Amino acid sequence: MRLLLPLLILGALGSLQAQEPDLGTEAQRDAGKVIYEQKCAQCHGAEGEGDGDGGAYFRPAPRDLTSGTFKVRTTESGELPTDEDLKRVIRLGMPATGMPAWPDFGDRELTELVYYIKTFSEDFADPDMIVPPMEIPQAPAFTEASAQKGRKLFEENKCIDCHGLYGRMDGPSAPTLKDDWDRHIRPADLTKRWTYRGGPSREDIYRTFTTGLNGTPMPSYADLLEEEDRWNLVDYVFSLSADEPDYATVVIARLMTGEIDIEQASSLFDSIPGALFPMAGQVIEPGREFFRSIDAVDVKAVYSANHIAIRLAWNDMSADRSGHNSPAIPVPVFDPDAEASTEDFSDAVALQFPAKTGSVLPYFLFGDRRNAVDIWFADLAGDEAERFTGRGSDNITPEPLGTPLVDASYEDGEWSVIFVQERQAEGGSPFEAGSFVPVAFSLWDGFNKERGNKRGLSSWYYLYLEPAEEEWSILPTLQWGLATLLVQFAIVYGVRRKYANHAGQGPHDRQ
Amino acid sequence: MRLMRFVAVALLIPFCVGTASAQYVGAAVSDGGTIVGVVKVSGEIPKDEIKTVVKNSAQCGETITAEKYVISETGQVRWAVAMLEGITAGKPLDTKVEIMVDNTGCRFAPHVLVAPTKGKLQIRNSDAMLHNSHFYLVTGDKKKNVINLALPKQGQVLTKAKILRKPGLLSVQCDAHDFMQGYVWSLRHPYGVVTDAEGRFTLADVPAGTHTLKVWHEALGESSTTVTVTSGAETEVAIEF
Repeated sequence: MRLLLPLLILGALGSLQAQEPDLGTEAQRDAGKVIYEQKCAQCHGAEGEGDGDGGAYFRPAPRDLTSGTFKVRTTESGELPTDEDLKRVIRLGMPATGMPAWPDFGDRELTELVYYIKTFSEDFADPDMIVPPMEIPQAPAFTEASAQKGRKLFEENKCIDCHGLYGRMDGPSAPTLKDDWDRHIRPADLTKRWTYRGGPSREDIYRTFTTGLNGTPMPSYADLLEEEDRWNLVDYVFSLSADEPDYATVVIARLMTGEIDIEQASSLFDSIPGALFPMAGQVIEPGREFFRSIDAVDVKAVYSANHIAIRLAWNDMSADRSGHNSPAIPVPVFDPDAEASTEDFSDAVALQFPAKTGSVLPYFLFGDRRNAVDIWFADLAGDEAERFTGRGSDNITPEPLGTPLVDASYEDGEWSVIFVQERQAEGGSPFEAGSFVPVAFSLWDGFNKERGNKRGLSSWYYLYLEPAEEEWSILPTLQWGLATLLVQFAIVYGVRRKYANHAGQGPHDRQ
Repeated sequence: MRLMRFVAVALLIPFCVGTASAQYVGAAVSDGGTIVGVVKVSGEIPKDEIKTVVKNSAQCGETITAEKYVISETGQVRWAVAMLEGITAGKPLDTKVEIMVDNTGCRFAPHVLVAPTKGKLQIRNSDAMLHNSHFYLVTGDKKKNVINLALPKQGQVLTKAKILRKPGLLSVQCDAHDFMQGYVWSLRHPYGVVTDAEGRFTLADVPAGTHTLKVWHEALGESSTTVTVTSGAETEVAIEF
């Protein structure tokens, strides 16, 4: 309450100053139009309606600039953004969407561009619609205790209804969420701060839930929380994510003693750090997936004398177990109406290895004619794995022998799928200790009607089977060391024997 | 809370300063008449839609009726709005009146209401679950975001002036329960009313003369008629869809 009066005065001043819409000069708008037509119209459309040619390939779709509806703002829910808000989004882009950052625009260009963008919606010219921004206070230092309190608030304020308790977008409302244009929209994956549309800082998080995201189901919590609670909530959300994705190129498999039991396999991975790999949409072969939903997969591996176990984990809004899936389901060339398809497809996952050890890496999209790939596939509607040989995306044949075992579970928005396979399985390249085995990943999100070539995938990475230190480095060293010593003794002995009969003619006697 | 007050006060200031572009002038009406009407459907009576409750069905039941077609056996239509169009003078508009949309049992209650432009709308959550009240201004087939308010707790009441900042039809939806749907007509004048269970409505103290009466229904559409009001008399109208 102490701060209320100054705020009132500030608010009054702000609103009085903000009464007059600032639309720039005609020259500024004209200059902005030139920039817009060069850099923006391809996606946002010539008339700003978000219907540019490029727009069809983006989800989230480009903003309809005529709507006056903008996600990232310092103004109250439903209000227009300030010029600074618009400039910020242009400068920084919208993370994990088709909207890139434009850091090279100068202040003058940005101002002109914003004046032009404001011509698309008449609301920007309406004094009634111009409101002052909120002040976002400076964040106090992050504390664990604050994050703990925030977790309770996160539950009480039902953030979990969409985002899920651990922020993996698995709340019960998530599958039915729509944006203002009646397109399905996913809650933010709060475990990946670098994808937050409004930015990753704690002040950004504060602003996002305080002002809401216009055009989306994310409502405003402006009226509901005390200042301290607000920072507690920020800290809990902040605690759910690493700062950076820290993508890997190699997953290291460690040797374990004893044998791998698929029933107990999940406990094998508890203390092993995961390797995170980015997933992209398959947009090269027919059946393109421009809107892949799974953006990363976390991979862990262990091996024993005879087996290798690989665990893949990823965040998924919902476990889609109805319907079926396969890498070999044909998909039309571009399937913009796929979401309307009534057929159910289940979530699915595949690992891919070169079928033979060799110097030529097969094409990463299920291999090529000369270089086949070994595909371990699990349709998560069932509990059995399948094995395929891929000689290209249009040439995938079932492999009846050497099917790996699989164990899959879904909990709190995370799929965890473990494959267990023999290290010397028939028809596949062997998993030799000390070797780097090329590996690639494919993920199908059934909710997104993904199947066949319409999927998320990775390029080739490596699985490294770390040799055991005791057996493979110290012991051989000792063995070789001992052998060398013995040989040396033998030589010394031989030399001594040889020269023992010629005493007085040895090197020492020459002097 | 501070932020809320800051914004709420800042928003109110323009209204206090007097930017109101008055297109409607209110004064006591002494020579008024009354329009009494009924809204009906002819022919087959459409059945109300049944919506599946996909979330919180323990509290709200497995299904709820959409209240889209609340029509009696004889065809009288509830939840239509009768309003005068283009009226610029008449009885005063009370913008202080307390009007509330309640989130109760996974529906908006009342399903349809009329509220004064620049008045205050209260939104309440009577359910022990998250609701969010997402208001859109609807023009033709376009809808424009007005505000999206989280109501995570039972008994929460929010009052927002800005919802009724502009006149027109507001659609209110709940993103947490995608089957919930309500409507608010924001009117600059006091001549608008929702039909009752018998499809009836009454508009009192209408200045004598010729007026355009519009009747709106969420699914049946709109219908306009010319009504001539005589001082001190009742004019009866029947609207048929």
